[in-house]
Amino acid sequence: MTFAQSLAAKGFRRPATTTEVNDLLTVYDVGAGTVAPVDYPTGISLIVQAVIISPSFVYRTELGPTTLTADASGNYPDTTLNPYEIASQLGFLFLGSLPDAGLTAAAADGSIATTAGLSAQIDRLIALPAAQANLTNIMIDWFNVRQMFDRQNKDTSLLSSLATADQDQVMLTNDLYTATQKYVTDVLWTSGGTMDDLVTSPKVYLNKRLATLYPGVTFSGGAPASNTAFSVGNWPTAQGRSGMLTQPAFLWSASDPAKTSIVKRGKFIHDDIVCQDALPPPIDLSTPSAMAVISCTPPGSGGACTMDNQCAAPATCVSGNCEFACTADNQCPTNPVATKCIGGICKLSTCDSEILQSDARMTYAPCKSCHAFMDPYARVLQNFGPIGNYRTVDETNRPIDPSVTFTMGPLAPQAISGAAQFGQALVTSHVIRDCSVQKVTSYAIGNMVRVYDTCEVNDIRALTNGTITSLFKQVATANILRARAGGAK
Amino acid sequence: MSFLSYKYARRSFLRAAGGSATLLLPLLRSIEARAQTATAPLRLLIIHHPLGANPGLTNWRPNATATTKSFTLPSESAPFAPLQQYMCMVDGLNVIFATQNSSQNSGQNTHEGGLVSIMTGVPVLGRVGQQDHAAGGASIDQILLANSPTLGGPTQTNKTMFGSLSLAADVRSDRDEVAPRVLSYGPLGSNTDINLRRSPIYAATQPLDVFNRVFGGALPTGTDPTKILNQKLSVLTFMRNDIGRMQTLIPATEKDRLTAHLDAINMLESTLRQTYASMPNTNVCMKPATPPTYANTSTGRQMMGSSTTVYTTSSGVDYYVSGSPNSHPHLDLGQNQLRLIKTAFQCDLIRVATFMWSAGTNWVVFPGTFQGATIKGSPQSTPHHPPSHSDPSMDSMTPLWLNQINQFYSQATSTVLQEFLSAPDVDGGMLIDNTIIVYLTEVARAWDHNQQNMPLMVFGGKNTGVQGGTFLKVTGGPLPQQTGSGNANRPFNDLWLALMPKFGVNASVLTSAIKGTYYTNPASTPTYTGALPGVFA
Repeated sequence: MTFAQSLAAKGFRRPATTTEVNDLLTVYDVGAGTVAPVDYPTGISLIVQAVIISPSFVYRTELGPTTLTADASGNYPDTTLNPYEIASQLGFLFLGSLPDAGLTAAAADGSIATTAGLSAQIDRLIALPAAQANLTNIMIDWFNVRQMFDRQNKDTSLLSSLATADQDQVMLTNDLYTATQKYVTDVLWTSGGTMDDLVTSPKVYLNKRLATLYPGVTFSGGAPASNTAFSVGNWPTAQGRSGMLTQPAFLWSASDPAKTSIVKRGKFIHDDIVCQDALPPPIDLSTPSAMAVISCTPPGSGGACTMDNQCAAPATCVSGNCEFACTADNQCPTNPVATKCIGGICKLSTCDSEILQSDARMTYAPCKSCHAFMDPYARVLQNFGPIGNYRTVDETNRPIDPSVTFTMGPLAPQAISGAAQFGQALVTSHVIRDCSVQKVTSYAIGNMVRVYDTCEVNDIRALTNGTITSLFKQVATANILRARAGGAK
Repeated sequence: MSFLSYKYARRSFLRAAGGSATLLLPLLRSIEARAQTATAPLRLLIIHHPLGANPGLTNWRPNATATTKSFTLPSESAPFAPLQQYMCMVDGLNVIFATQNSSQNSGQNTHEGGLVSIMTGVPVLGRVGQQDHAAGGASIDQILLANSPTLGGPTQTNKTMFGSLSLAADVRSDRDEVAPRVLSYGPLGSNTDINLRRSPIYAATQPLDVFNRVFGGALPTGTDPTKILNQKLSVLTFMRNDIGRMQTLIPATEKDRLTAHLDAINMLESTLRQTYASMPNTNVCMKPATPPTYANTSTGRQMMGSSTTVYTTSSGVDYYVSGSPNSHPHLDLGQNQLRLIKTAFQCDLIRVATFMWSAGTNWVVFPGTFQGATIKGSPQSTPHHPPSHSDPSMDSMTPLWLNQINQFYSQATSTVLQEFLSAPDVDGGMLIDNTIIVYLTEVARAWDHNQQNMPLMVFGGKNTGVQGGTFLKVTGGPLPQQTGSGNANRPFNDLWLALMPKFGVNASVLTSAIKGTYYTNPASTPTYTGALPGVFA
């Protein structure tokens, strides 16, 4: 096989046609020249360029057999991916790269298009260390941990327990990512655990400086002696940590520089960890009703007074804003929940912390229609600060109560207090396993499955046992990966 | 809850594979290695011709008493007329010979002392033998090579392959002395023997040797924009063919993506054509033809006329071969050497070079009748040097012969320098635009070795700063003139002080080397006064 043939086959992930090879040789001739001495390096360079920027390399096709023909009305029938397309799909899914020699051979002899051949290839791939590393990273990406690398601007006071040289956040986030890789590998591969274990395991991997930043861990084999070696340990029970959602890398990535961000954490877990259907888009926060919630005041307040200092009853105009003024004896009504007289205004709270602001969002319309769904997922994690540090008081130095009642969603109705109970709830409700299937299926087909109850995904859910190998095998062998609907020419 | 079937649409391109033109165009642009417009480096070429000009310089310099841009070159410089717009003729610099050895202060007004003083600018160490004045430091070309950030010298990150070239057509000198037959010197060594302490860089005299050394390996290639454009377009053609194939396979719902891809290719082609249309062809390095070997026409120990003390043991190539009136190997050899320098500049193998037609005490044999002029006494032939001492007040014939020799050297040099006008340079211009050429000699007036108003030309094109088309009359200096009354002239070093900054070298590199105790004749004659204005813009 010539270089042009072999490179094109590798790049296009299928045998190159005679025409394509001849076209590449034409490119070579232009680069090398046809009169001695030829410029071989330039000729080869141009062939490489032509292959790697041609559509056959840039695009992955899912067109099925090239022999497919339309019917009289110009419509193509339903079909399946051709063997080379299957090989390409499996290569990118399991290896994160071009199909390897085994996949290419199975495509060439057609076995990959059979049930047995497909299963054999998947089993082979899953056993490869490269595939296991890739699938581990896919699982980590499910939790969006790499967002951490865009958040290397944490309040440095959070790192004050470290020596100055160790406070480099680039270095710390690299350490945390390594720690997460080791955690996921341990739980899902080495220990053969399931998705349930992923969100409940008390394990953590730390190096020396991380052990300083996150104290209290009990190391079975001794504390880490250096910053290059990671040791496995268990979180202290008192912290109530539980699996991936309390790993520092996840919490770091899902927080603001100096605050936890209940909204970010809550929405992410709602959308992507428990795979709840999409919420309506955010409302206009400049409306009086939204502004009332933001300032933790009851509905009916908020917004500026009229030009003649009037407000809709029962709100009154206080310093240009419509508020609920306290009574003469500093009392406030229950509207719809008890409010307090703060500075002459009836408010839900002093509204000066993440938790108090979340209380308002979860209590008052129009915000509660979404935040009652989202915020609880983050409220149970409030014992973990912006870098995943354990804390018992919040940013205003008030004791943290990580209790919340889920009134919406798959965990409802249920009162949950803290991360450990939350992890257990994710397991007993099956939602973590179910969501893992939905996410991996989305990844495999390259299209986000946004609806929880989707037929094809439910079929896969029924077949998995929660382990990572079962998850990827069942997704990869599912019909949805290869079946394609017909359509007009 | 709704049950959704994810019956996935057939024949789709995965979105993540980047099918949109906005993603694609940067990807396609990545194949476009934009060849930046090259900037040509500034070069330096110093050419030496022997034995000055005619007495009084009437055949050399124009009839002007002040700086002017309107002048006609007389016979000995007339061959340079085609280059006049690139030329600054300088009149009014004197060679100042200085020595560190007070008892050997006889180098003023000598060929040997002249050449060393001109090229190094510093006091000599002393004298070896009769008149071999030992250079007291590096020559100006080597000083610049070592210190300039742009000449590709050995201390620079971007070194040229060979640093510099020192070539000659003939190097025979009286008593085989070093001083009159070497232009370039390296830094002083540490030996206490001054003969061994100086570091002459002996010139190569056979063009074939130079060719094999300099052009024997792989040569750098520049950018031919037409060729590169065609290469890139061939890749785009391949892409278009691939899209054509895909378009026969995809459903209607996907055609927009390929159309966008095709649009991106078309946009890229348009950009490529615009880019390369305006790009100069920098592929200017062409391996020269292999030069011949020039057989020596004078060999063994040669005596200077009837003298019993003046000799040379070097072999050399003379002006003509006896019995072959149309063969002029000295001319061919010299021009070949200059052309090798020209090509080496174009290929950026060097940026500094020196060339001497002969030693200051020129042993090249010319016919006794040359270009219509005959030496008094009508010898059949003679080395150039001996007749140059004929007293013009008593010999009206020989000066005419000497005039023809001077014209010969001017013409021989001018012919090659004119090729610099049409030799392409890497910046799209011509070689002359980026090359400073200094044409000098070691005495002004051969018969008595007067070294006042040294015949001197500086050539250079638009990027060199040379004030072309100018006859520069030096005034205001402390030194006497060859003709005319009163002092007006300046030391020759003042030219180098003006030249050095052109190559990014501080003039103090030279002036600081002149400090200390040294002797001139007359005493306390300054060896420099400052950078000479008017040569460079």
